Order: sequence, then C-alpha cells, then structure tokens
Amino acid sequence: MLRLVLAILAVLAFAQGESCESPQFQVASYSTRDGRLAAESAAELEITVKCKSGKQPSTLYADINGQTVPCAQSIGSPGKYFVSIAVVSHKQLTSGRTTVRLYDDDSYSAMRKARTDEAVRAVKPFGTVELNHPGVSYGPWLPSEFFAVTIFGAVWWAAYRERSRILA
Amino acid sequence: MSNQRTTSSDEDSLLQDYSRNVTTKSWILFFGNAVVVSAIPLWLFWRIHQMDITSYFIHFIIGTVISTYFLNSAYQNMKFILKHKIAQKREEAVNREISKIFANDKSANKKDKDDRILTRKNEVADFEATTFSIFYNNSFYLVCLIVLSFFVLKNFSPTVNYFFSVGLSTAIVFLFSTGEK
Repeated sequence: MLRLVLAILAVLAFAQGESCESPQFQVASYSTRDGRLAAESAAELEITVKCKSGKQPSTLYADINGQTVPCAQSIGSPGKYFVSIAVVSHKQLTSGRTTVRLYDDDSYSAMRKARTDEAVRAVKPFGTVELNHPGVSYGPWLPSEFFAVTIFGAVWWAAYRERSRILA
Repeated sequence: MSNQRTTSSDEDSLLQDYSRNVTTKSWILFFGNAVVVSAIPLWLFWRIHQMDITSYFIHFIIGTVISTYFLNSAYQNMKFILKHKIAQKREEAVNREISKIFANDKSANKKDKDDRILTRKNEVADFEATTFSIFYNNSFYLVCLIVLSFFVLKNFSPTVNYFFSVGLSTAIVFLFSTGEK
C-alpha cells in the first residue's frame, strides 16, 4: 500500500516538475558609468525568461566569473529574474562583455554534484546571457572650460595684436 | 549771416569728429551689442552654474544693467581712441580713391575734393573703429568672464561668482578701454 502511495506521489511530482523547454532570454542591464560620482562599481541584470511550455523555472542561479548566486525574483513580475554584482573598485568589474551562465534547479544540482572542474564545465547550463559593461568613464581628458578659454583667448589675442598694430 | 551759419555748421561737424559723443546710429549699435553680450553670462550661470532664473531674477537684472552700462562706455572710449589712428592710416588710400573719381572731372575745385576726402576718411574711420571696438571689447570681456567664473571664483557660491565675475570683467574691460598701449 505504502509503495502504491509513493508511486502515485512520484508520478505527481514528475508531472509537477515539468521543465522549461527551449527558453528565450531577454536581458536589460545597468552598470556604473560615471567614475567621478561613484566610489564603487555595480551592475544589475534583469533577465526575462520565456519558456515554450509557459512554465517558469522556480529558481534560477547565475554563474558570474565562477561565483554562483541565486537570482532574485519579484512576485509582481513573474518570469523576471534579477542578479546584481557589486565590486569594491571600478577595475574589478571587467569592461566589455561578460558571459553569465544560468542554471535551473536540475542543472544546478548536477553542477553541485560535479567534483572536478572538467565535470563542472561539462554540465549544460540552462542558458547563457551576456552582461555588457562599457567601462567607467572619468570624463573628458581636458575639461570643456579649458577649450572655451583657449578659443576665446586666441580670438582675444588676435584682436589685441590688431589693436596694437592700429595704435602703433 | 548765411556765411556765419555755414561756418558754425562746419565747426559743429568738426567738433563732432573730435568729441567723445557718438552718433545715434553708433549708440544704438553699441547699446544693442552691450545688451546681447551682457546677457550671454546669464545662460552660463543658469544652465552650468545651476542658478535658477526665477529665484535669481533680481541679481541677473542688476548684473546685466551694470555690465551693459560699462560695456557701452568701453565701446565708446575705445572707438574714440581708435578712430583718429585709423583715419591717419587710411588717409592715403582714401586720397587715392577720391583722386581717381575727381581725375576726369576738370571743373571740380580743390576745396570740394578736400571736403570729399575728409568726409570719406571720417566715414571709413568711424565704421572701422565702431566695429573693431565692439569686437575687441566683446572678446576681452568674454575671456575675463570665463577665466574668473570657471577658474578664479569656481569655489565660491554661484551668487558671489556671478556678481564678481561680471563686475570684475566689466571693470577690467572699462579700465583697459581708455589705455593707448
């Protein structure tokens, strides 16, 4: 009897755990741009997952540069997952494109079970997205008021030379 | 009587040439330019130094009026100094130009020709002095303003920055407008 109950429960659990097939990702990202206003760099990704079956993965894990963190979710917006990265200095957040590997429950547990680096690499992630960080800007090399003063100074100098010529 | 009146009108015109008073046309030109150039810093302080135009309305009016008055005076001073120098430099060219016109006209007498030369020379010198005075003073004023507001007074509050940069710039331009070096 107990076996029968367990078997029914197992079937139910299998039916509930219907996985997301051929997911599509949309990424909106923000990263620190102005190095003069902020002391530390931060980046945030908003990942929208669309599954063919309409079922969303219950939890999503993101692997950024070898560090795996669970993605945050909001009740108000199902299908959206958020990851944020904060680093101590601007240089630690690599500029350019960074690949973020996403894992759902199944692939995450497979990755946890993997013992070697090769085995970890062999685990097929749920999907991959890219974080595009253009780098931190410290403003133009020469400030704009310097240009203004140089241009007006040159005009005035030309006028001054001309005035001296007239008054000579 | 009529001879006397002619002489007096000649004298008037001669006095006008050598006086600091400018003609109405010149005055309007100077005044218009002074207003426009005095209003340029408003944009700078409004948009870049973040002074709200409604809150600092009175400050801006006072600053603009003062700088318009002194710039106008600076234009006139410089025009007076430049005009005679320019007249001397252009004398030969004007002489040649008028002589060419009078070359075919045998009936014209020397007095007419001299009068024409004098009038033309004054016209040329007046025009050149007016335009050059506006150009020189404007460029000098703007250089002083940028240097003062962006470099010298950059750490002061925007109100202090505005009053001192506009006031000092006009004062410098006004003082230097009378110099002959």
